[in-house]
Amino acid sequence: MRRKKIIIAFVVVLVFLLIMTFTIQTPSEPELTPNPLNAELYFFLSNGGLENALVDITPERALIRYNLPENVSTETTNFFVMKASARIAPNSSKIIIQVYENFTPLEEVIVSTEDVLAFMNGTITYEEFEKRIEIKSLNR
Amino acid sequence: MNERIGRGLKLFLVVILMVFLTPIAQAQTIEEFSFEDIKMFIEEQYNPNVDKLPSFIKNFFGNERMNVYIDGIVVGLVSKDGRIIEVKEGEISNPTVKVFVKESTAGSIMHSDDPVTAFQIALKYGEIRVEGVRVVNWVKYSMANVITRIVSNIGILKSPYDVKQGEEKEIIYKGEIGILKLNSKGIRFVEFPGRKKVIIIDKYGGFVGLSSRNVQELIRLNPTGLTKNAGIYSQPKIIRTVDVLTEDGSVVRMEFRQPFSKFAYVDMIVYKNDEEKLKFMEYMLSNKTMATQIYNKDFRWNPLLTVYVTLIKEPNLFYTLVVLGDNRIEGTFNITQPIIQQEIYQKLIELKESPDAKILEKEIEDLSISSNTISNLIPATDMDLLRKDNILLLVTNSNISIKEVGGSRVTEYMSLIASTIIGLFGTKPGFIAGAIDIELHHASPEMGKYAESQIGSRPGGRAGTLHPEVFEEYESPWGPAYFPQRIKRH
Repeated sequence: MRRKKIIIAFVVVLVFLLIMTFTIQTPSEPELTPNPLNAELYFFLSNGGLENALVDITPERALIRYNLPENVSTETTNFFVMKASARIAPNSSKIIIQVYENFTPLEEVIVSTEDVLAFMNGTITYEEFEKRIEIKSLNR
Repeated sequence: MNERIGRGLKLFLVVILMVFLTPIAQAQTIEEFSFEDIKMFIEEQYNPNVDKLPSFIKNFFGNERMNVYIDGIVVGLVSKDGRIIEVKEGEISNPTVKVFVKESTAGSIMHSDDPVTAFQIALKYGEIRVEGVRVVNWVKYSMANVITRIVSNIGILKSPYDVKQGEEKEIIYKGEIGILKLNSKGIRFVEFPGRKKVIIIDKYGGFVGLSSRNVQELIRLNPTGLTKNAGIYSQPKIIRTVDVLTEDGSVVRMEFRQPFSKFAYVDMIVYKNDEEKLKFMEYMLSNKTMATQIYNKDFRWNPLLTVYVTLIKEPNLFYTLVVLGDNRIEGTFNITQPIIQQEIYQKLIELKESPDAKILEKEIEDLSISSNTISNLIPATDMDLLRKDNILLLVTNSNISIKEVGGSRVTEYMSLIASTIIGLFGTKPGFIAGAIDIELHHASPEMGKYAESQIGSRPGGRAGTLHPEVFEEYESPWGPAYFPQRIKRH
């Protein structure tokens, strides 16, 4: 009888442990491994005078968000960013550039990396390349 | 009846074992270490600080015979009253507990400034799995695991690096007061008063990467669609560090970093007294008694060839400073005239005959770095023209082979001048001019709009401005072009 009680108590403890194990989740945090290409493009842009750009590169797109420096046109800067991105991340399908001015959204430029490389290699003319750039305003 | 209970127990055991054998969370850093490192860590870090552990943890692990499995390493430990009294490589006999830890988690604990806290953080996040041996210990440690989960959830196991969204928590990070925050993607970062750079850290407080206040603000403004890695920049690969004796007698440490995996580009960072940290060109500007001597691996003196070129007021004139060992010459280059006709050229020829130049030539291999490249070229655009500190600096005592340079007209000319000088001193010229007839491509109607080069697409240099002993002429598809003689054309 005493042995039976011990076994029942043991089973109760096990059931308790099982329930608690399922109900109480350990806090978890996903792995964080910096993408080296983010750093490479960031340094490239910084060395070219475009400091503090936000870079986020995935196989689908290279996203670059920056505050427009003073006395520089968006066109010149975006052109520099496109070329830099195509060189550092040629395997990202497209380049998305989000231009901010004093932290206010200004415009978004989307272009295929393949088109930028084609222009850089001289396969397409500037006029052809320009037609393939999609620009939309971010002003609300 | 007893048999049925027995079967039920076995079933429960299997289920619970499956629960506890689920893979532990992936940790962040991969660290390699040996048994000796672990032993040293226990003796020097763990035992002296064991009293800082919460008493319930100390009681559980207080008097045990443990086999600890850290990926490929097995360590046997015997504890008494919380302290580890025996450390053995391999398994110990009659263990009471088995502990499973990922190598990266063990690395995070061992390399933490506060290992006791890091140990608690690992427990909190389930990155240490403990299994009791035999039934009583198994129940004890199963309960311990559940208790750990409960205390983790109710906040008894605290981490100094836990912070809520929107919260600003003051912490001491590496001896400095900083403000810990969580960005919109749930990433921890530490701001320091008066500094633009911020440090990205993991849950152990370990360094993950760099970012800046501005970048974090850009993330905050619109986090939609961004990955967790957005705006996190790892530190560039360090390829070499050297001690340099300056003319004022002080020693500075120069660190050569390679930020790009694809390009032969090297950044030089100067450390002085392990405190100041600045780019070499900034150091050159701030300290006119610049570094002129360099020591090789055997600490023998070697001269360092330093070439410093900057644009001066007139658009075609470049101030040029060349330092070789104790010799220093300066002057201007006019890019509209052949170098050979210019006054500074005569000075360079004299310098080439100096004993230091001969040493430089002999010692090249001693000082060559793994990539055979030491340079500081600035890939730049015309935005450079807007900057006052438009400088090109090349320091070399090694073979240089920079395959691509993208730049503005100004930086390309500066590269050309610097590489020509380096060429004169018998090392490979540094600039296989990514372009080009510089004037042509910067003035063409199509490219002139952006005033940038077609990087690497049209090799060569402008006729008449180059040194004939350094560059050779050949017929390119775009007309006469000039190549550094020592570089093979592909």
